[in-house]
Amino acid sequence: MKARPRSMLEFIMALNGPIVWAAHFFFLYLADALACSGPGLASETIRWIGATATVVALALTFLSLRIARATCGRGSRTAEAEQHFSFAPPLIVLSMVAILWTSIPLLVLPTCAPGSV
Amino acid sequence: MQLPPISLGCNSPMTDMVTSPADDDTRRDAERKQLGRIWAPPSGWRIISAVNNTIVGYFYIGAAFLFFLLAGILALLMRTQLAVPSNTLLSPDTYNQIFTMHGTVMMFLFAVPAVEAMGILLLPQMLGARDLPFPRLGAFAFWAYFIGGLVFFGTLFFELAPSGGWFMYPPLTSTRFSPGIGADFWLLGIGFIEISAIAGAIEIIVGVLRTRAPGMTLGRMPMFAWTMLIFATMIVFAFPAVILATIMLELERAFGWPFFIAEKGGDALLWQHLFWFFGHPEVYIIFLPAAGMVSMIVATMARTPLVAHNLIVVALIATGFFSFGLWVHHMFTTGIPVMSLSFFSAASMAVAIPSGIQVFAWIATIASGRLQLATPALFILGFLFIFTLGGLTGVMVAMVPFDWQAHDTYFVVAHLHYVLVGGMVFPLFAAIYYWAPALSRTPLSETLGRWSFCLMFLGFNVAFLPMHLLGLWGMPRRVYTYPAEMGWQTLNLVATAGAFTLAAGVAVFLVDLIRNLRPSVSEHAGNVWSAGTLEWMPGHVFGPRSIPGVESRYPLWHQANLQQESETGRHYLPSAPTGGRETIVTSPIEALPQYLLRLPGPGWSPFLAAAFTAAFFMLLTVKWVTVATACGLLAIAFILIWTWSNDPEPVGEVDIGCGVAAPAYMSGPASPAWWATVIVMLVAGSLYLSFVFSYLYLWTVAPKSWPAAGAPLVPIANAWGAAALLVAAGGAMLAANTALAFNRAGCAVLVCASAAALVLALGLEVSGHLATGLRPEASGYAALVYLASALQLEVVAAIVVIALVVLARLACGRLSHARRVTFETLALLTYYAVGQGLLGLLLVHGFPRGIG
Repeated sequence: MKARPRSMLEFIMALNGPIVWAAHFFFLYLADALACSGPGLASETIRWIGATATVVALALTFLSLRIARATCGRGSRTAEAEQHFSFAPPLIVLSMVAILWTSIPLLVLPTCAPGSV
Repeated sequence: MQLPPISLGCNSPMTDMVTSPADDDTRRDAERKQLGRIWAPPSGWRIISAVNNTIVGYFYIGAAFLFFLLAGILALLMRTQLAVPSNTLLSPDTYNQIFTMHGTVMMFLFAVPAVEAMGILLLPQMLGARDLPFPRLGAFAFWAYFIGGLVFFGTLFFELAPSGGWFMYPPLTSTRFSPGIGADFWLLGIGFIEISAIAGAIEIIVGVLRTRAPGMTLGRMPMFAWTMLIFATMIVFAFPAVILATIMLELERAFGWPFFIAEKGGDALLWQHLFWFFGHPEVYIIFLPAAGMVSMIVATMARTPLVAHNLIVVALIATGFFSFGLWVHHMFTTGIPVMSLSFFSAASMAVAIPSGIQVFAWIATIASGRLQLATPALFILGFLFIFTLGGLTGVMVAMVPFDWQAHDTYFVVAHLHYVLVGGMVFPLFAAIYYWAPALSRTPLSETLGRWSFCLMFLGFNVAFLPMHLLGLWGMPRRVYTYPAEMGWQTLNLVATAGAFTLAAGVAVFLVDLIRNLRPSVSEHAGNVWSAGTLEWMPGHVFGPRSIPGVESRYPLWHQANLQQESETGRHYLPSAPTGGRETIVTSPIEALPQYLLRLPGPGWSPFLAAAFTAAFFMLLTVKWVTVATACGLLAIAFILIWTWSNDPEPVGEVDIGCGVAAPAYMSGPASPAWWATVIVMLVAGSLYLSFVFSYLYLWTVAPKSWPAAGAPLVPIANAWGAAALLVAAGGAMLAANTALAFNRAGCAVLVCASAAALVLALGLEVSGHLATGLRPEASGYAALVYLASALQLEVVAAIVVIALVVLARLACGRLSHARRVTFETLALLTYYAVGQGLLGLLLVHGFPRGIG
């Protein structure tokens, strides 16, 4: 049997969960900064934009989870040597939790209230 | 090339079947002698020309510990000053210099280098490599850091040290409020020490991914290697932000480019964003390798494999990502809109989850095994207690309303020391006690170790626990004294007593080191803890006698006779097939052997290049521009001398043992040089994206004056011309790549044309702005416009130098279609420069028009 070396691209793909989290997080921050700094968007639209971004991010992570489960199998049942990317499914689940968690301020806080003492 | 199956154990080499035992013994003896001769370190004072990891690693950890002691003495001075109210021991200005240097030295000259040193020292042995792939880069990184660090620390003795706090906030650090050269020492000194950290990170990333022993798949990789991989990757993305910030503040101080001056359209908060985009990941950059050490030590001390290995990997990766979403929690009191603050507050709380996963996994490992309560285990228990407390106060200050109360008080001082000392110093001491037998002829003393731990643990908590209360009672940070009527004196005196107890613990450790530590590259005390990973195999100056085929996460526990087989040369690379220093390069995921990497031996060029690089930056600070320039040129010259011997003549396949034949030359995407270049591009890209952020940030601060004060825009034709030149440069490089196969002269012409096009594009851009009368001193906007060109200049200058090397190698017959690594480096950087240049044009010319 000849083994085929896997590429770093596959490794990076296994990081889909936190990559989507990062994209979502920075998008929320930038959208809010633009909405509240004057030149950009109307401030109330940020809530809807943020909510849409959250739904998209969750959909992407869910899709990644399906793919990761299909390709990685369940880590505990696979031989140790083959557990190259078995970290991917739990990492995606953790990222989904983080996406939801960091979105909560969208639901409960006013958009451009000054945040100082 | 013949690739073996995934199981890479290597128990019956063919050579053993066809030769007699006597012949075998003779051959093995000859192989061992040959390896010893090839890897022999330079003797006497010439040892400073050594480049291999074991020797440089010892220097590195020794230097880091020296800076730990020096910064610790500064801490004792501060605690002595604060022991009683209205103390006059230190003047306010001296106190400011001391707390600035304490923080700066601990963070930049101790914490990051110490964990990088542990990586350089331990990784090759742990991974089963003879050395990491770029030994001279590792040596350069060390010497640049050590020489630069010593000079930087020396400023304290001449009252020239910076005094604006370790995070150097402008406007306090602007020329207006800090007119001396102390701030310049910080900006230039720390800026280039960070470059040395990046050099080390490149070595570590490529080393972990490409020089693991055959069979050591990602799933079998030791946890310390995982953490070092994530640590180094985080450096690549975090450090460029602060490098850009230091460039900007130095340009402001030296030439008046007003990036942070509000009345000229700059903004002091921009510094805080850039600094903390580096500064918060920095905390995890320090903590993650320490967590990796803890994972290794806990498994051995509990004599059982780590519980939830996979979940710990998940936690490490998640922490690496989440830590980039926390930086604004250092800026909760700066008036940023409350919703933005809340995103960062939520992320700050979320990062507790992966940290919690690790803590519970360690506790579960301890519970599932039988803990051997030796000194390393004591330090680990101390770490768990202290770090967990620091984590809990971290969640408290992650909440915006609480932070508004606690900000800039001693509560934060207590929190950050619980996290950093608990999260990094205690694990490091555990690691030194744990790994000393693998690095020294004798282990450290258990008795002294226990004394050291008890004093340090007690002293630390007595020193820092009261600071939580002091903070809640309102004592601000960074005050050189306080009046008696505030009622803070008792707890301050207790804290000072604790600090001296902590110092006594460190002193006991120092005595232990002096009495017992006898570093050696070949004679070690041995596997006294019965650990399961490869660094505990019998060590030689050349690493393992033969590189073991790995079939388990804990090969020494699960592969019977592995040590004996490796020692008798029955595994990979039992000899030196090309007659020089070598190690096996394996594939990044499954660790399949791919080729034999030839490594350089000792040489003076890394040391001299580092010394002149340090001199260049430090002399610039004191404005000896001519001498500094000469030193800079000498540094480049020595780097060129060192690179000249890179990319040796290709040779065919050689036998690397275990019946595997592999090529001894590799170019293209599989070669470590290609990987290193891609990482350099990622560093440069991160730096440029930080610039793009700065540009857009200043626009959000002053959108109505963009371009500032009606400054005229350069005609769009200039931008199109520069873009066309950039595209032409990329096209010429593509054509040169094709020409290299059949027409060297044509290739040389195209390389020249490509570099010339890059220079012309830059010239067109700068001359266009100059022609409109725009000057960088005029406004934040103008300074950013010129900064785009300055950053492009850095890349183009490097490309011009490398192009000259390529031309020289072509002329000398050291570069051809087959021997092409130098050319590939140039080509990759050229494509990067084209991309960066086009993005810069889009931003500088497109953005103002787009919003107008």
